[in-house]
Amino acid sequence: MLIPNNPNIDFDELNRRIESEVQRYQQGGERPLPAFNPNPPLPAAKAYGWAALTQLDGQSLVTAAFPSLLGREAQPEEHAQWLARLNAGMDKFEFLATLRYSAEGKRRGVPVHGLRRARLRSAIRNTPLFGALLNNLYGWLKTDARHRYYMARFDLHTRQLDQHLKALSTSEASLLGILASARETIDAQQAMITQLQSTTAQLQERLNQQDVLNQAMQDKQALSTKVQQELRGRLAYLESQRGERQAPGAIDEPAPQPASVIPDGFYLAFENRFRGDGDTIRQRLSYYLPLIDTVAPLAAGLPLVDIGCGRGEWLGLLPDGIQRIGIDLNGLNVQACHEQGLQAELADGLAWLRQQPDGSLAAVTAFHVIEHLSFEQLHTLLDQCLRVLAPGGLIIFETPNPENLVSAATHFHTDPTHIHPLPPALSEFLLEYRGFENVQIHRLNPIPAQYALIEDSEVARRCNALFYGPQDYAVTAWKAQP
Amino acid sequence: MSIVRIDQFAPSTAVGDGVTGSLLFTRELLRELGYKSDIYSHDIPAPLRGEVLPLSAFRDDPGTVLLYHHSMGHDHGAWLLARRCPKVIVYHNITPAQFFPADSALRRYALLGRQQLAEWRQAFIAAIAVSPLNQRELQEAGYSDTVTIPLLVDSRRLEGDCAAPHFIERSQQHTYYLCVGRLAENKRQYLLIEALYHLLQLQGSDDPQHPMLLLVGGVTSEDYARGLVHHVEQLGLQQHVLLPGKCSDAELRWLYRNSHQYWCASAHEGFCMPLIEAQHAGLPVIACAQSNIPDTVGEGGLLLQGDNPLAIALAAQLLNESHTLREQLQAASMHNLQRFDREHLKRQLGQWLEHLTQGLAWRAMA
Repeated sequence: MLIPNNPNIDFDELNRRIESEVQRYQQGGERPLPAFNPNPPLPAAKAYGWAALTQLDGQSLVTAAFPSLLGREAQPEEHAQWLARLNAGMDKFEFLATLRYSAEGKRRGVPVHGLRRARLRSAIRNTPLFGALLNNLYGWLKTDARHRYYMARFDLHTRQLDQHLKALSTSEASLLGILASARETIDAQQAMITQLQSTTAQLQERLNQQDVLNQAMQDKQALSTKVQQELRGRLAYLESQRGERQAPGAIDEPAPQPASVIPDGFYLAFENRFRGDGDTIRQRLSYYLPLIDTVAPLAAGLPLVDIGCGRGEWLGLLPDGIQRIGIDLNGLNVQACHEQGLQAELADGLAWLRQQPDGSLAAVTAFHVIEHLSFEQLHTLLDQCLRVLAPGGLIIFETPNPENLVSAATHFHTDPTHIHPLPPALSEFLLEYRGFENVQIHRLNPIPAQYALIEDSEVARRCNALFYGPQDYAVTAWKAQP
Repeated sequence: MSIVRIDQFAPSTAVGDGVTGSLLFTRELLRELGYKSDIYSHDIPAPLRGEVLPLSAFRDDPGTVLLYHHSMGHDHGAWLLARRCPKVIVYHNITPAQFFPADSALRRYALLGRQQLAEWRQAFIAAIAVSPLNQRELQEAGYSDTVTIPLLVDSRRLEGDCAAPHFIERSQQHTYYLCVGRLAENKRQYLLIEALYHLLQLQGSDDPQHPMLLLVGGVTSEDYARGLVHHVEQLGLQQHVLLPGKCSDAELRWLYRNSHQYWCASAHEGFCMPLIEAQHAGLPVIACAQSNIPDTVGEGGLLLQGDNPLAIALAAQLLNESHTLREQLQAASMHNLQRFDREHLKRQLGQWLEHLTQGLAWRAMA
């Protein structure tokens, strides 16, 4: 049975299937398998070709020689006898010759080659009474010739050795010369390398200092930009306050622009502190670009509207040729969009949508907006979106993901204008309920893996899911085609 | 005492051997952590000369710590125990003696290795186990300051070129079931042969994929290897089982990447590196839950209770039928491999060395 070792796999179901298969298989009346023998007998003797036979030695040779040369297996006593002789130093070819040229072997006539001398020795050795004597006499008669042969070989090797030694001595002297010269070159190069390393180190140090200075300059510049923006915001707020005090009776005049009760400067400063720089935001938003490519009404020329467009990061990221409009309550954000050449309006998003004709927009996007709306406002937003979108139009709403408990418990409340977190299941339900199609949840921006726990246990896995999971999610949906 | 050098000693080294791989990997980590480090051995094969230094080159200087790798009994204990520097044992596990033939040298040295492990515990100031099973054995042998750090797996070495082995038939489509390991009694490859027999019965003999069981590995026990061949013949599986011997690293990588499943029926494994290699190649693992295998496999494989070959065959069939299960196992394997990530191991080793340095300082004060 399988041992449950992975919470994502249904082991009960797998074991149930295995159990039923075992029963079915065993009902099939399978024969019991033969038991494994960890020490089986040596393979049975079989006939070998002559070349293969001469490669064998010892026991294997005796076992194979009988079937190969005599066509039968060796009797146990024959096997033992020949094996003992071979182990005592008998030449294996003499053994093979004895078998091959025995009466039994001659009858069988297996073709062999290279056994002439071994056959002679075997014949002499097997001559009754005089066999051993003749064998020794043969050896004694060959002694002088063998001595001369070995002396000649010895002289030859001695001369060759002398020649090699002389050549070696010459090579050694030459190598020593080359070595000395190489050592000088290496020393010189080593000195140059040391000098170069020292120069490189000095240059590197200067470079590092320069980097530190550059970084400090960039930090100061960024800080000064932020301070400047915040001051402009505060100034605008003060001026609007003064204007209100100076003209208290101007109630009948039409309100020039919708205004949030929160000063523009405050929100700009807040975003500077908490939302991240433009590059980071653009990098995150680029996730949605493949979706945009699939929106048919965009290709037909209808515009995309971004509610709460901020500093125009998303609008600026959209491909050329797409009509785009930004809507924001913050005048400084709208101004920042205008400075980039983007079309943006200072307006309340819901009020702006109400003024648009039916089926006049290709897409409505809102990043980190819906968590600022009351439930009634969210309903109105969905109703208006459904009305103003052309068939095949798309909505993208991104918001903090409360499935990440750290996000839900702390980061969400860092923005005092957030109302309440929207769990993904609720958003998905609301859009489906309002009649949007193909509603999908995209979980985004997980905490980087290096900050997560190493997942070596179920506890770590669950903690990672609850505390280090995606910090945001987006709900996307389409208006049905007629 | 501040540690300047951390050298390593193993009685013998060999190309492709697991303990030698561990020595080389540990040396790299130690050098990256800023320590001077060399490897010393009595037995150095030609390809490792220069990488591994002879014992005569070892300097027993102050500030040196010696890591001793223990994986089998040996006759160089006198040299080891005579070193004055602080010594730490790195324990790789010893295959229990009952798995070796009676009266064999392997059995004698396996018994001696266990005896030395117990007798030498006073000689070491601390102990590293390369797996949780090894740590338990160290504690049972009386070692108190122990830690588990799997100093075996250099995740970078799992990557590299592939080469199709010569025994692979390119002309015919096969489904390969792979097992890598020495042909030795404790590996129980005969259970896998029987599992393949059952799988063929379950699937029917007309399977166009022509299943093949590849039992890759050198021979440790001649009798046992002959027994495997005999068993294959008895079950009529000559066309479905191959015992090709040892393969090169590149060939192994090819096998891991082109096989269908990895099977392991081993009764004893101190760690079982091939399981990690299989997981790294995305090969689903089916293994009997014996010794350290459950810890090495983690969540990334099907673990079987007991040693029933029919259960192995049925688990293999489940995997063949369920693409989802295969994908779940592959994802879990990737997750499991994080535990053996190089940087993670380096951090673990670095933290343990800080602990060791602190311990040595206290000893010096005492």
